[in-house]
Amino acid sequence: MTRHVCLVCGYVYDPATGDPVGRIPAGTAFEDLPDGWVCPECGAQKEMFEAQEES
Amino acid sequence: MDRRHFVIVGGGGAGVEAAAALRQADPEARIAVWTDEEVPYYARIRLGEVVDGRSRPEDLFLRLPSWWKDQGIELRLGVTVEGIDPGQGRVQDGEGTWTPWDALLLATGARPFLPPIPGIDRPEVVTLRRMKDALAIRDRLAGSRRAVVLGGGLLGLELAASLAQAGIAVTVVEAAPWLLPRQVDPEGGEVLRGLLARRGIDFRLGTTAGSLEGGASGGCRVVLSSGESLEADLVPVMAGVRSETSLARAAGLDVASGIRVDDGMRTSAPGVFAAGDCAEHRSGIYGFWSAATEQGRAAGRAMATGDSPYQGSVRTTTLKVTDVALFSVGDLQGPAVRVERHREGDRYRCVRLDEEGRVVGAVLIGDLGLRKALMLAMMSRKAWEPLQGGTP
Repeated sequence: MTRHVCLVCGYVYDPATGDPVGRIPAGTAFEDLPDGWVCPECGAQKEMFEAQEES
Repeated sequence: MDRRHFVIVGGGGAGVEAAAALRQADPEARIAVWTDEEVPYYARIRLGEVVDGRSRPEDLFLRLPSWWKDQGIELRLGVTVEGIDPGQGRVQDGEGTWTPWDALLLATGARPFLPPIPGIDRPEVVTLRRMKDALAIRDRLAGSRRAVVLGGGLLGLELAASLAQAGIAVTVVEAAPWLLPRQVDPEGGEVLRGLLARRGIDFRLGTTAGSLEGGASGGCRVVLSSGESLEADLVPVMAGVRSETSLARAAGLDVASGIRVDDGMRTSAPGVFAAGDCAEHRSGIYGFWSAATEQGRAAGRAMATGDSPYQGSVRTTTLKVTDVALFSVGDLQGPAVRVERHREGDRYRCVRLDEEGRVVGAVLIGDLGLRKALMLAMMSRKAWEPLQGGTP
């Protein structure tokens, strides 16, 4: 599954770890995050994220 | 091989990201993070949410308590550092105990700048940098009616919006003739001022506070260089920050405005690294979140492996005031060969290009549809396709 990076603050959402503090379990694809989910580091909304190229 | 021991002074973005990178590179090492704050790693950018009550402090925490345990990273809260001794490779905490290290990271961040004006020590003056600052302002909202925010930069405006949201009459005082002078061009600043004025925020631009005096009704009076006086019972000072370099300076490290580091985040003292708002890299102090976390990760790798991985960070700004959309990236003040501007009511776009047609800086207000394209254009350094007229 693809990682997504927040264009506001650089936070990387990695489906392998999910967002434990935001109660998003590991294995959750970015596309499946709930609509109200925001970047934990800066509060930006989902549309501020960009799929990250595989490195 | 003996387990290496890494000590990180500072529990913010640079410090904790460094700890995580260290752990990834060295599964065996002892890693300790010391912070003088009473709360673990949190989203500092979101402190305004604590001020206006949208979030509780724990909502901003960026790691579960179990993370520290799982990673085997020791977190010491509320610990001050007395001094560092690079020659002996040790650091002394506020209780006088010396702890040895194989490598030390200074991620001490920055502190608010307080202009040296008469009355700056008055009780109405507050700053917003740490969790305890946010809680202190939150707890004073009920007893406050009028606030004068000194500083019309990003953090000043976000706090002003939080205060206005809480029903406080807010005036922002900014020395520059327009708002967000570092992130927005004058015309964009004017569009932004209009948007914020409609949210009930008042502005005094091109003037500074000369002194704070006792007020008529119990609060204080902010006397401006323009001659005008404003009554206030809360005076948030949001006039920028200064790198926290006192430990480095006392230990004889090379310090300019920040602690000088190379591409491996190494300071002038062997074994001592620095990252984040306290660090000066290629003569620059970035002072924004993504740079701090990127530097932290670079420092962690460098401490574990000796790499020199850091090549600098791209500045972007997104104003986080509800229903005011603003985005800015890159350089808005340096030379540009061509500048595209487009304004339509509250919507504004400014794109600055160099001689190769590449984007060097941009501002979007009202409609952020182009923000991704602009970011990617800047990062790829490809020529920008100029836009005609209205917002696509």
